[in-house]
Amino acid sequence: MKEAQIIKGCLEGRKEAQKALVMSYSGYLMTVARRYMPDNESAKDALQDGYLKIFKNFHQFSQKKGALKSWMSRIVANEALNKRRKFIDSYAVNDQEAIIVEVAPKAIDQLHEEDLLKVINGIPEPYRLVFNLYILEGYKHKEIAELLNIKESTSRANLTRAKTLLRKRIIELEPNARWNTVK
Amino acid sequence: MEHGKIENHIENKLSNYESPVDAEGLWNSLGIEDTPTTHFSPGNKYRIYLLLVPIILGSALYLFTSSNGSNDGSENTISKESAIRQISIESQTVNQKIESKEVDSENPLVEGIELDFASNSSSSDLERLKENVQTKELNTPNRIDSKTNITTQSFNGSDSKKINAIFKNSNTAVNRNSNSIDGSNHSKTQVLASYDATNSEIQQSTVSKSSTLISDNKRELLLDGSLSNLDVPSMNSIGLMNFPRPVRCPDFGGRKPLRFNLDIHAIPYYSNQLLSLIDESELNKTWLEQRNSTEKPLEAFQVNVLGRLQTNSGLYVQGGIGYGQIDQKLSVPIQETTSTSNEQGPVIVIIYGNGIPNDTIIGEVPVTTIERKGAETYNYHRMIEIPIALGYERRMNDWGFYIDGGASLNIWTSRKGYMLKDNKPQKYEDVGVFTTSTGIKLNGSLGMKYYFNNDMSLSVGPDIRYHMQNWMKPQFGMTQKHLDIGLRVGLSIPLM
Repeated sequence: MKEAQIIKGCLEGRKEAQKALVMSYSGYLMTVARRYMPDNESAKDALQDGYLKIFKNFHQFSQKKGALKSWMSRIVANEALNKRRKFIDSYAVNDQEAIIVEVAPKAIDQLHEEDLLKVINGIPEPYRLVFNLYILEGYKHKEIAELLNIKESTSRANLTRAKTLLRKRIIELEPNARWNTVK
Repeated sequence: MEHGKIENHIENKLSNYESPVDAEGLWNSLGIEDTPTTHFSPGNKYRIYLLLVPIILGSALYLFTSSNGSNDGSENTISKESAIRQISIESQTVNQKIESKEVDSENPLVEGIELDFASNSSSSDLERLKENVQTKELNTPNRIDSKTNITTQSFNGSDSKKINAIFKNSNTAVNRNSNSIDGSNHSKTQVLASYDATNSEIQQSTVSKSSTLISDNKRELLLDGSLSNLDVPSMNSIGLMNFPRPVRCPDFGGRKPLRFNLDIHAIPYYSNQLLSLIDESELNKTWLEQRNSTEKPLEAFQVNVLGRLQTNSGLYVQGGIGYGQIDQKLSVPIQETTSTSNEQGPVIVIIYGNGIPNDTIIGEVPVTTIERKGAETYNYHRMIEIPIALGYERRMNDWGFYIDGGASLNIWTSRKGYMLKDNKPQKYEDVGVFTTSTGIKLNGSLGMKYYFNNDMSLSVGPDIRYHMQNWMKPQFGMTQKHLDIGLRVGLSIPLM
């Protein structure tokens, strides 16, 4: 079933279209959920609840506002965030503390997606949430601040910290990686 | 790698990555049952409904007749004959030795039936059983179900709170026992409990006691006649605690079978007055020409407040109330007419000389009259109507279209103004040409709709309506109807 047919069917509430949507996008949306949840089971729960929200609010989807994929990924991300909200405020970071590092050239390319997900999931949650929302979901810092109930400056700082940590973790995977601290 | 581009690489890597997931299992866990891909047309749906109606009616009739008088919440007295018949059937079917047991006979709340089943299927025992039943006033709410051999319960609604308390306590036991007894196995007979719900002296303590008794006195009569407590499984043993996490049923918002909306329509019209002759006399022809040349349409509008009942297929019916007004202008151009006549009047006599009038006599005086005739009035026709319409709308994302048509019944009319009659402007009420009602008019509209996020929608589209009934009384030899063309702007607010 093509995406247009899926959209049409879901708008009409047809179950075969809803099933086709689940079958087509579960892999991608699971990746989204996994970026926010600590393990696969809770990610699956978030995805399941996300699907229910997607079906309930499908009439609000507008192709003019963006692709179906990104609309759904935002819903799943929000659903996952709702489940993890209580941990969000536990970290804050000062911009001054951020360090800039260089990453070895082939480190990321050589990483499998699953490993990359593990690396991302390995950094502290406040950093990870901001990184995912900003880089992968396309939220602005202002939106993230509202979503996570943090200051905009905290969002920026956490993003910087997330990048730094990610570089560090990735470079550690490279045997001959350089690790420079730049003041 | 360029400095600061790590996020781009991660984004590229993960933007299309699909994690391994059991999509089929996920779909099943959503609790949405799969349906055949056949999309039923409305016609097929109706056929299915037609098939379902007799089935449902038949089932309802069966349930009604089967439950009539047995479990209607009131205390029932089982007739002796039916009790005998049921028990006889029981004993014949079982055809095994079942010892009689008196159950809960000591419990004041439980009226046990002394069940003396036909052991060994001997006729003497059966006769004794019949005698027991016949000589005993079976004033008990019990009904013995001949299929499952489980005594079911009935309660008097007048003491529902207490009974609910009992029922809550006993419910688990009942369910468990239901698990342990095969309904088709006629080798077991079980009496769980019976309640005299009408006992006004039920106290809280006895309620507790009764619930305990209900739990404790679960017994089963085995084929060999031995009586043993039922092995009631614990919650853990039957895995109740290990049930999968409850799955929320999906709520397909906005997909109710019927939706009710409040619609408000505002329609500015251009009202085209159609005059035609019934009596084609010269006088009427002149009058018609005069009216056509002097009566001009001004603004016209209609405001409707409607309730709309809509199905998922997009079909809807709507009705409500509407106010409409048609304004016209009577414009008779000003014309001057000059006429001269001789009238009797004072004639001044001037003696030629110094020019001073010195006498006045009565005589013929020429009089010139200049007459200016004309009129400009603003007229209105006001109406209150009951509009009813059928329609169809189809939504495509935020946009959609609608088409509907129906009729409006006039319930009130008010008119004020002038019309040219007998070459002069006259008030409507003086001429008396108009009927008191504008009758029925037909209308139709089609257009586009825009849906807001909260299912509210705004519609715009052309609207046409035709007043079928002649506004004029037939004795005036002329018909007046209106064909109005307008632009409908509608706001639809979902109510439920």
